[in-house]
Formats: sequence, structure tokens, C-alpha cells
Amino acid sequence: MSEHVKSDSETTPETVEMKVAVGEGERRLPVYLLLDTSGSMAGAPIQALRLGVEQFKKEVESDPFAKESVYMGIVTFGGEAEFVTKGLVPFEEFYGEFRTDSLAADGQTPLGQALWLLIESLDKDIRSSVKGGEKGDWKPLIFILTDGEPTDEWQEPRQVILNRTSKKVINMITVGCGPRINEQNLKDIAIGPTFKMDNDDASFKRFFQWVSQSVRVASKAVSQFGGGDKPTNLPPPPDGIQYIP
Amino acid sequence: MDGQVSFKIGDKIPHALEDKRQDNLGESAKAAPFFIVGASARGRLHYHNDAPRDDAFAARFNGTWLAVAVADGAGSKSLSRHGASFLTNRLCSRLLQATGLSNIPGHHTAFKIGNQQTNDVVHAYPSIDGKMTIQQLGELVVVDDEADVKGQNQLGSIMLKAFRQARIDLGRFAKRNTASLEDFHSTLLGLVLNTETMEMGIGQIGDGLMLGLDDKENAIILAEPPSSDDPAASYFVTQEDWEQYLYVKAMTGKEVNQFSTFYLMTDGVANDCQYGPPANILEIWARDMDREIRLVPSLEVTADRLKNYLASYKAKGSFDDRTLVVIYRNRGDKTT
Repeated sequence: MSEHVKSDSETTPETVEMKVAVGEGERRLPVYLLLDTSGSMAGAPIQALRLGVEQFKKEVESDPFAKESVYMGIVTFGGEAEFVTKGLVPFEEFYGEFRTDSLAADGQTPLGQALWLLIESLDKDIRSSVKGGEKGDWKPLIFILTDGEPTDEWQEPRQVILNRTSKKVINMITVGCGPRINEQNLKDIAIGPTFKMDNDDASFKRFFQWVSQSVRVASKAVSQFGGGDKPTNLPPPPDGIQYIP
Repeated sequence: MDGQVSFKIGDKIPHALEDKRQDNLGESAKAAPFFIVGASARGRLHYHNDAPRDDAFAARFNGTWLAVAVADGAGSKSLSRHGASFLTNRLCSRLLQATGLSNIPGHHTAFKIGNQQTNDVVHAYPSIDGKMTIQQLGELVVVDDEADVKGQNQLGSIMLKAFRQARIDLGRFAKRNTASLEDFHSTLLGLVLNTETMEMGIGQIGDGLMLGLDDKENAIILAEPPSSDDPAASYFVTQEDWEQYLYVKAMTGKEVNQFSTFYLMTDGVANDCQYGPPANILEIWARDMDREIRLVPSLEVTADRLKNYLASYKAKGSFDDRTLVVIYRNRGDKTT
């Protein structure tokens, strides 16, 4: 047997920590919230929405794993669709800079526009793994909160989302809110499970608690069987959020 | 090599579902001219969730043949830690059993079926570059088992058979414990190496990485099994259609001789060493690790250092169990 290479260092070898470089790439969990801020949300619903988003921020912030992985994208659609976070941003940035009082109810419900903004971001912002290159993102979690009465053309962008072959969308949850939920429309719009919630503050609160829990579960993603076409296992929705079969 | 001492290191094979396992483990051994240092550390997330370490590793040596395996039990399955430790141990023992019986000749050639001849690489996925599919190889092994063992190409078929046998063994263990194979979902990476001729067989299903550092300090990925574009999804040896996703390859002594260091790791380490920035992180990581692993003469200390390193290094978003086995030799110890 040949000799081992000996350390030149005077430091006791037993105490020497290994110094090995690791990649700086991070695996992100993209979370999109598409929020209906149309005129029909004016009054108590928009106030409940603000409180809900605020609560979501606090709950994710309190989870050391989630806040390290989550990247947020907030799209509102009221009058005009707007990517208020200007793309996916680190949770810490969202936490520090996004002001929930900027959410205001006004105008019509351009869900189609919002879906196009989502598609642009999926194409532009979501990373796939490249060996020797970037670390790919977890599958995005997408929540759409709307009354189910879009006022623009939403069928085409929905179909574009359905037809994606790469960066596929498999975790999209649609939830009906507001005083006049159109359940049939909600079902038609949805890609994935559809729910409706009661029109009270407590339901908004529970909805955003559920979103936070889902984000926290997904950020602790565990290896799952198969090629990645199955939705992430999310916690069941709480009382006040009913599944629409 | 005369006078070599056989050994068995790594996680213990489970005998019952109640068996406990260590949070962190570091062990080492010598299989001249190689040194083997392995460690496995419970991930931050597992601590946070009060879940055990689901990774495992094992290495065995019979005086000539060295078998090494690592595995990552699926976090979504409660018994997967037993799957990982069972499979790593059984793959090693099945590999040594097969090599002990087979009297491997000093060279390898190609698999041959009918008019189709392939070189040493056997891909699991169908007919890539016209190479043989695992199904075809399976037929060869099943139909002409004895001839195959005594003939050529043994390392590829031995690896395949060892994977199959380890899986069957796990199935029996599952049945004894009134569980199903799927409850033990686990990836599996293994190698078997003749320390005299340097011939080597490798096999991998699911996430993780098998890497070699050559004399020019290039990091070469040795196995490229099919993988999913979803980082949360993996393929497991315990799933029904597993052979579709298995990658098996045999390497000649000449090919193996260009390497001084081999690394087998689960994705908890692989995810931190192969994605940049910087762009050449894999090379940097492999060189750094190679330097560190050779720094201290004592193998025991090195195993401890590796264990401590895996349990403590920080990388953003890196929460998983980490397991790494390094097989290395001094650069002057090359066979010709």
C-alpha cells in the first residue's frame, strides 16, 4: 500500500473541517396567487382579501424552510390584469415590500389577461434543471381566487396552459369567492380541483391559512413516485372551503 | 491481492420494522489498492419533521471484489428507510455472491443477441443509439442464465441480476412484515469493482450521482439513468415498471484505470454539487472533496470528518438527507 498524503497544517487533523465548495444554485418553490380585484370584490371582500394575504405572509415567514424556498408571483385582475410583483420574487422581498393595502377592488374581471401574464411568467421565470447549470424549480403552486364571472376571453389561455408539454402546470387550484359565485364557470375555468368559499372574513382567513399550509407542505417536498405528472399532495381544505365536484 | 481482509461497513440490514438507525453514520475500510470512506447524515428537514434518516449506504469486500451501494428512501413512504438499508446491503451481498460464483475473466466484451451487437453500455431506455434495451438483456439473462454467467459480459448482467435479486429479497422482507414493496420505495445506486483487474459494473435507478475523477482532474458522470424534469419525482427500484428506468454499465479495467476516485451519492449531496453557479461546480466539488478525503492519514478520522461535513454544511434550500461514499486510491497505485 502506498502512503497517504499528509497534511502540512499544524492544526490537529481531527478538528479540521472539510472545505468543499457547493453550488450556489437554489431550488425554488414558485407560488402564484391570481387574485380577483374586480369591482364585485369592493367592500368587505377586498378587505378580507388584504387581511388574508397579510396572514399568508406572516405564516410563511414563520417557516424556516418555506421562506427559504418560496418565490412569489402576485397577479391581480380588476379593471386590468397586473403582475404586481413584476414576476417571481424571493419571499423575503415579497414579505418586505408587498403592501396589502395596495389591493383595491375596481373595474371588470379580466381573468384571460391574468392567465396570459401567468403563462409569460411560467415561460420566462420557471427554471428547469440543467446539469452543470441551474438547479430546477419545484413544480409551481398556483391559486386562482375569483367569483367565476370573467369579462374577457379566458378559454384560449386556459387551453395554452393545458397544452403545455414542458414546465407543465399540475398544481392549479381554483377557488370561488365573493357574493355571486358562478360555479359552472368556475368548473369550466379550472385546471385541477375547484372549490368555493363562504363570503365572510373567517372563510378568507381560512383560505389563506390553507394556502400557507399548502406552501409549507410543498416546500418540504418529499420524493414521490413517478415522472412528475402527479400533483403535489396538499393538505385538505378547511371548513368553509367546499369542493365543487 | 493476497491477505486482504473482507469487510462489511455502512448501515445495517434491518431485521424488523422496529429496528432503529443512527442519525449520522461515518465508516471506512481498505480494499487495497482502494480506500473506502462513507458517511450518511440526517437532513435538516428530517430533524424538523421528527423523521428518521431515509438514506443508507453499504460496502462489502471479499478480498478481491468490492461492492458499494447508496440509496435514498422516498420521504413519502414511512418504511422507506428500511427499503434503503435493506437494498444497499442486499445489492452488495448479491453482487459479491454472483462475482464469487462467476470466475470473471480478465476482460469484457459486448452483449450479443442475434445480429445485434452492443458495446459495454447497456441503457435502460429503449433502443437509444441502437443499443440493447434492458428487456432484451433480461431475455438473454433469463433464457441463457448459466451461459451468461460463465461467458462474457458478466458485469452488466451480474449487476442487473443483483438488482433483481435484491428487489425480490426486499419483497420477501415486506411480505414477512405484512407490508407491500411500495411501502419501501427507494432509489438504488451500486457498483462492483474487481480490485485486481479493475473491471467495474455500475447500476443506478432514480436520483443520485455516480462520478469519477480522472487523472486530469476531470469529473466524469458515470451513469445517466432516465430522470424526471420534476425535482420532487423520482424512480424507485420498488416500483412496478422499474427496469424501464434502470441504467447498467460495465467498464473495462482500462477505462477504470483512468480514475483515481469514485463518488456514489444520494440526491441530497448530488443536488448541491452539480448545479451552479459557478458553472463548473461539479469539477470544483470533486477536486475539493478529493483533496479533503486524502488530507488526513487516518481513515477513521476521515470518515468522521466526512460525516461531520455532511451533517453541517450549508447550502440554500438543501434540507435533505446526505449520503456519500468515496472510493479512492493513491495515484501511483495503478495497475497496468
